[in-house]
Amino acid sequence: MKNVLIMGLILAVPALHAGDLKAPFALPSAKVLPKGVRNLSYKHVMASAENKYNTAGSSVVVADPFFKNITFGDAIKGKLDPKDRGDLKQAMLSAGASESDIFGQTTGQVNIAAVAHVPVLAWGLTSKMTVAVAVPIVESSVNVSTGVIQTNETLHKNVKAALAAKGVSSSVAEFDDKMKTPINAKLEDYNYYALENEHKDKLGDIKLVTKYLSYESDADRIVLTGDVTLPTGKDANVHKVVDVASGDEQTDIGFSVSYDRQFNDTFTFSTEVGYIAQLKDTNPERIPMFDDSKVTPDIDYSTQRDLGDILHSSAALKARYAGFTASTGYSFQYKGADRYTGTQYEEGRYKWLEQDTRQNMHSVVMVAGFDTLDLFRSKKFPVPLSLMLSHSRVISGKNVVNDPLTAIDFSMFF
Amino acid sequence: MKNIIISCSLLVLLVGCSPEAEVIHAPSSILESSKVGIQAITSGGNSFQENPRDVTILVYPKAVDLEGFEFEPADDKKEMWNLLKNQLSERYRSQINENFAKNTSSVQKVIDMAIWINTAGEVRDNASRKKFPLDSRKATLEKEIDTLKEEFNPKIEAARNEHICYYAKRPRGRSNYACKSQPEGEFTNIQIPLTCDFMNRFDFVFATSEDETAYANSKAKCFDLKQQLDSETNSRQDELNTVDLKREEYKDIRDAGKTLVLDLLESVEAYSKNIFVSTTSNTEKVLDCPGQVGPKCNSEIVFSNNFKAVKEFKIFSSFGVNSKNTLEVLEYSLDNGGITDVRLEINKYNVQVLNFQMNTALFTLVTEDLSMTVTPDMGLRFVGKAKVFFKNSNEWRWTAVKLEFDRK
Repeated sequence: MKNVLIMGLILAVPALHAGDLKAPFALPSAKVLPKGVRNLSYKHVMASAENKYNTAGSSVVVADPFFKNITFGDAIKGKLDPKDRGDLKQAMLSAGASESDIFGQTTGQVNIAAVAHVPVLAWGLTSKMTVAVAVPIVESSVNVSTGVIQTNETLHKNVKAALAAKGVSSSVAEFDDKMKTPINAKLEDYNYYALENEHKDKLGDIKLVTKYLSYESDADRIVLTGDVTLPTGKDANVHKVVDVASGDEQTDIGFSVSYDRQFNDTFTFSTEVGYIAQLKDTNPERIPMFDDSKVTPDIDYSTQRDLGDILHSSAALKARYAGFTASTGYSFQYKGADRYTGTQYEEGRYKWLEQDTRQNMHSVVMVAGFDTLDLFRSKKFPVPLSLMLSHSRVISGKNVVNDPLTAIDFSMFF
Repeated sequence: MKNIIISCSLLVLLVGCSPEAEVIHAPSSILESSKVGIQAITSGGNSFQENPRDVTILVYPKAVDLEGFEFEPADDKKEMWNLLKNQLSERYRSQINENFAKNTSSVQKVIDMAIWINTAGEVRDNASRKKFPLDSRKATLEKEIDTLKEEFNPKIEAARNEHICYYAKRPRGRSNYACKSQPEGEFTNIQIPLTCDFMNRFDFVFATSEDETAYANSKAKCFDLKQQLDSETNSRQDELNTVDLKREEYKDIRDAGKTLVLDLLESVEAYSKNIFVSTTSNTEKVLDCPGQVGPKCNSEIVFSNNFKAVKEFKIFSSFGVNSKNTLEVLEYSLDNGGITDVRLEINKYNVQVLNFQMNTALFTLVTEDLSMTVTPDMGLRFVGKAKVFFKNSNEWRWTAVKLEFDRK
């Protein structure tokens, strides 16, 4: 019953998109429920998103796209109307500047904390087949702050003097105003919602899972798992530059094979390999204006999207004694590049959406807990329960959030 | 049961936990110069001419107007283009496209067009900044020369007229007059000396040596005064001649700016058949009144209440030269509804602005905050942009609007 959680800590800031890889919080297992046994569990997953691995595999802050030099060239490129671009370029020439001249640097910080509440109901239909449904609710808190470090006083003065010489005092004041809050000014120009701190609850992507015990001996078990992730969550809002998605609004179909080798009553080695196909869909997307544009005013509400499929594998060593569990595992995930096409804008602009969407993630998971299964079997406890605490750490990767993730899993069998 | 209760309580506690991201502040540092709010220079009780010195209304083309458009200055305009380009630094010139080739993207052509229009405006403004003080200097020098002449000429004239020549017969050629100081016999014709030099042509026969000395003194006085006048005026006249030459030079540069813009936009008009240029009556070029040849009608804008309101707004303008439809010179005023919705206000940047709507038969022009400035060199100006909404389509274009007034 792992990977049932679909929680997207999705920043619309480029490099992190819907359908991204997320750190696992459970270990592989080739177990199914006995016939007629039901399991109701509640998973409480706590995550944050402040840092990520970039394309080069280096750890950077999630707000990294906010840290950008403000050059005259970018300011010109960022103007929507070619007439405005001409006006600005002429002001640049008049100020004796060039496109590479830098006014300063934009800065930003984004802190995201999220909790996924995931009730899961599983039912052993037969001795070999278990079905389950998971309904995640994603609660998130986003705090965001942006700033600017103005550096080139001479350039500022020259530009203002050039604008003032034209007699357009409003332009001088507008320049001053926008240079004080360049990110918010640009977002307003491009019709994004203003950046603000936010707290919200959203239904996530509901997941339906079927597990089939295809082989079992005294020491070995093989389970085949098929799952469907329904698009019940909400993708990042196309009008927000920073947003926490509760899903990716498209359907995933997954298949995996799990294998357990039980060495004795205490130790079990588990491994798993699987594949998730993220199906094509149509989604509103902001279409970049140029190669490295972080924000853009152009929205294609009918962008054809094909998120990259995911290959995942993991292995774990578990120890269980007298109801106490201590396990550790390793997980590797790979996601192919996303594909975007559309007809509203030039074809090449859609390709810029695909940049930095290929991902991989290496992570380790540690689990500790206690269950009353043995006590229940020996009639020393009235209800079979389990309480597990897991902690995941991303040890390396590309284009993925690398903050740790902690989860608590409370289960009851009946 | 106790454990179940504990477990369930723990579960309730967990469900009740809400995530809270840490409150943060991104690093920021604003330059001191940017912390000072920029405001329009206010009028401060200055008074200005009611007839504008210059009025500019120019429509910017959009990419759709420039698909396949190509442009090269006509031979008779090349000199003006070169004159304007010579005002730009080599670095400036190297960063702008001088040619509008057919296969250049129309978006790039819009950018280049905006650059040239702005550049021409800036060069024209810079030339104006140099010419206007010279205009003032010229007026001052002319006034000083007139004042000196007014002061000295009566004295010179008085000195000349102290001794009237009564002659009998007009001498031949440049010969001297034989004069008597009083009419006597045939000496009855009168000759007044036209200049001090003319006094040298009078040969008086004086009755007494005192009279002779008096005439010599008058002549000397005349020459002395004339010399004083020349001494005072010649240096001023020399400066005036230099000022005139410079004024002519800056006038040519100003004209080059206007020529370049009109050359470009009239070519766009000829190509796209839309309206891009206009002419408005102003003190630099007063147009004939609508439908008449001869009588002139100047535009007039009267502000009241220390620039809090507009009392009179009347402009005489024509639109289009090579466009499919043109508008001859017509009056657009508050009285006839050609100008409506006039507002003098403070905008969101704390800048005093003028807004108005101009209603023509072909389009409606709506300004978007024309900034008001008053500077010693350029006088009172309202500069900014507007949108022109064409009535025969849903199209609109950006428009540059500039109203300029001299001090009284």
